[in-house]
Amino acid sequence: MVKLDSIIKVGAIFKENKIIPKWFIWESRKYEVKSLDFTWEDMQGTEKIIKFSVRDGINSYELAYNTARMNWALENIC
Amino acid sequence: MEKTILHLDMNAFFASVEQAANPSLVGKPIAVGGGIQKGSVVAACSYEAKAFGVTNAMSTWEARKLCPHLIVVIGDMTKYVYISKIITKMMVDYTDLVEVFSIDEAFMDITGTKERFGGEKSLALDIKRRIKERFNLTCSIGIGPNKLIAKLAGELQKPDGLVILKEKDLPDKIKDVPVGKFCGVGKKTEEYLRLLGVKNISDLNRYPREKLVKRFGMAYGEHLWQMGQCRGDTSVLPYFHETPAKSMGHSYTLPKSTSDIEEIDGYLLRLAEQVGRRLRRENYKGSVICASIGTGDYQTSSHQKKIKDYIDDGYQIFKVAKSLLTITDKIRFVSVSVSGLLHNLDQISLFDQQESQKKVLAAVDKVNDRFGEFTIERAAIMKTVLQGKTGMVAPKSYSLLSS
Repeated sequence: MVKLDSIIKVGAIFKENKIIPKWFIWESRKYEVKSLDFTWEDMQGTEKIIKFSVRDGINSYELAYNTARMNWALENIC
Repeated sequence: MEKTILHLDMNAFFASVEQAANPSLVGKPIAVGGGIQKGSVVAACSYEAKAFGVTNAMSTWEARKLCPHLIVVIGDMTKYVYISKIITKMMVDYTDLVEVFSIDEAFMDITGTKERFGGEKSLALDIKRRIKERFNLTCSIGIGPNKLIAKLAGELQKPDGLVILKEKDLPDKIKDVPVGKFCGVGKKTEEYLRLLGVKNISDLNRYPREKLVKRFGMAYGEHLWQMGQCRGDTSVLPYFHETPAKSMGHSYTLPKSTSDIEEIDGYLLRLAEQVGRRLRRENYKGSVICASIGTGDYQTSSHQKKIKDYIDDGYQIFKVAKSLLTITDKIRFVSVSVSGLLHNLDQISLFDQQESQKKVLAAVDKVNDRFGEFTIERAAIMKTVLQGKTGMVAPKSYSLLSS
């Protein structure tokens, strides 16, 4: 696992009370999300962070959405 | 009336969660732990790893000797705690009487509610289905007339098992089960019982009570006898019941051994601050401070002291903890805990300095609540970074036997 914590751009759809990331851009390259495998939540102080484990068909990535600051981070690559 | 107690045990929980989160790990031997560096241990492993002889609490180094292609995944407690809470909420859909036993086990008393769900088997299958659908995880469920038997039943079929034992089935249906399967019978006790000719539950069931008491003492001997008769605690506390904490603590395995006092003090202070923070957050103060250190060969020594005041200030905890320790060798492990707890003890100090200190701590806590742990911290611990999370010393201990 490679730990990153990089702020990234993410394209997501909001459907049936869920957030579904569809793609993200990291270091100028666009990654298509082929599967959303797992979702869980964490708290950073009072800020709720929603975490997503996604795959692009090759690697597994952990994305984190900070609901208070409304930004996305790429946390880990597995 | 015979009770119906259900015990749910998530199968290889941490490892299964990691496999569900990253399906490329499915079917592979994985171990969840602190990493591959020297000194790290396996917190949990997948069934594929267990097939190679890998077990929990084994060092990663030893695990990789047994299974060279073992994949080591760094654990993420936030994931496991989150899922554990969701599963607990699911269980509360069936009864209020849900008692969390650990992060991956819980008891339910479904005596009064099972008929609403088509009986105990149907209820259990529904829980399993929902967990599988939501998280792609499996669990083993055991059902029995008390907690002891329910937990034992769950042990009989893993993974993804469902075993139901009624009062009338006991002890015949479990007569050949080794005594070591009982919660509360460890390897040493099992070996000692084996020397007495007690290998399985049938043997324990027939073994004279007086002889057990003579061999193991009044309390434990009696407990063993009760186990042999398949008797156990039937009371399941409701999920909203808060058991008072007995202690709070944090521990940390250092990245490498050191005898540098300043470095060790940094870790000790940071752990003490974490303990102080938890105490204040849950409104406890304690008067017994315990500090432990361990060397690279897993030898640990613990010392504790009762002080006359009740405290929740990390720095005060650190000062007492430091006074208990004598560093003569390289240290690999540090732990600080506070017990002798009192809840909601709000004393007004006679000394201005102490009142001032309370206000400072309250202000720091407010900032850290808002922005995250250690947003504000003591200058003395800024250089000390804990890689990964510290272990939490569990505040509760559990007994499955009748109280």
